[in-house]
Amino acid sequence: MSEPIFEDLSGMWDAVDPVPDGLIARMQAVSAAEAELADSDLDYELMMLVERSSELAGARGSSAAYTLRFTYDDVDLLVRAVGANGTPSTRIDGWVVPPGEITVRAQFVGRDEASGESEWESSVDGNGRFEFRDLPSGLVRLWLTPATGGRPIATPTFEI
Amino acid sequence: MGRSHQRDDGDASPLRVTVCQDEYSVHQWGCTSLYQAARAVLLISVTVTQAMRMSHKSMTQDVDDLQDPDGPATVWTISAAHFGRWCDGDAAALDDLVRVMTPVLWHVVRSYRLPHDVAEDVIQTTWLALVRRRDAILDGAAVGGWLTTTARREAWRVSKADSRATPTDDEEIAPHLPRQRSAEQAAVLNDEQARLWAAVQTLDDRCQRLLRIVAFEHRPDYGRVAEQLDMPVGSIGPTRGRCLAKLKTALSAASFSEEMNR
Repeated sequence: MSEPIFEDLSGMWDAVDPVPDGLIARMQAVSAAEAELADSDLDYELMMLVERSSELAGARGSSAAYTLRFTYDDVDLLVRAVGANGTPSTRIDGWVVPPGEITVRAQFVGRDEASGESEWESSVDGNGRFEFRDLPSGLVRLWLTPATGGRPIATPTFEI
Repeated sequence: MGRSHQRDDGDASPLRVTVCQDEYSVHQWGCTSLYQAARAVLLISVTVTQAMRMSHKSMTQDVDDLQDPDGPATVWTISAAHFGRWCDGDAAALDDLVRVMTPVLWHVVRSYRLPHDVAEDVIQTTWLALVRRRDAILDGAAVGGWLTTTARREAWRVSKADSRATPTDDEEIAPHLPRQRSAEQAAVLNDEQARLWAAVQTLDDRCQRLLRIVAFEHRPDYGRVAEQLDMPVGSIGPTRGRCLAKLKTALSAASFSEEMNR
């Protein structure tokens, strides 16, 4: 016999802790972008998110910041995103260990062409640092491509 | 009858666990192989039924609305059908699969008490893994189980690594005092749900997680659940029964005291 109480329980949890607005759309965008990549010949490695922390930057909470740490193999990437409240502009600071000649691309996922550019480029300096200023808000993923050739590595998407 | 989800795990799991339990006390490996044999038999029957349902459904345009004469379409048969269409080259079917399975993954992952943003990362990791390893999923009918298992494994890994998540291992720990519901929650719960929620909150964390996983997963892989809850596989069934009993006791205690206060 099935247990009807599990029906009640799933309905109850749906009401108590509902799926966040937009989660399905974000996951659809992420999956579709990944499927497109999988169909192309591009071979790349996916970094793993190992740490996420948020902070309230600014005493009056005028901006929100968070830090993400990704790793792949022996590459470690720390990303700090700061968005000023009330403006769509976000700044990303990144640190790559080990440093090297690396091109960094910030690629927006699920952004239609009508809303303008969807890709920004920067490069890593001798200390392993890079930055992007004035990025729009949205779902973004970072691509690290070594200048020496070799396989690019990419983060999962994160929201800024 | 007429339910939107199929709950045949209620039949299968106690049987599986009973077989296992006797054996378990004697010889652990014997138990494992018996368990696996029982599970393999179950899986084969499920696969066959689902394959039959899928061939039936593929002739229709919208499987979401399809009523199967053998029983209602479940989130598992629907997701298997979407996965099949996607593998056959229909790119839009991936959107459908994500729409159907993301809510299930949400509840499975949130049962680990991960914060919203971390839970979302885990769900993303699960979808990326599906897309990147599509060819490794040999049994399309089992795609729902593959997704929930992958999500649970990742949630478990993250909850151990993330200091903000505080999973409680000790079942004997004193249950939390009833928590105050926020105004937001109060607004969306009907009376029945509010009573159920109050009763669920008297349970320890492990019971809450186990009941939530079972409520949203058709047929959780007990071997994995056991590993992730740090319990022997043979005790999952009895624990599930004990958690349900505690829940029912809490529910009747609540309705009794309501009667008294009338």
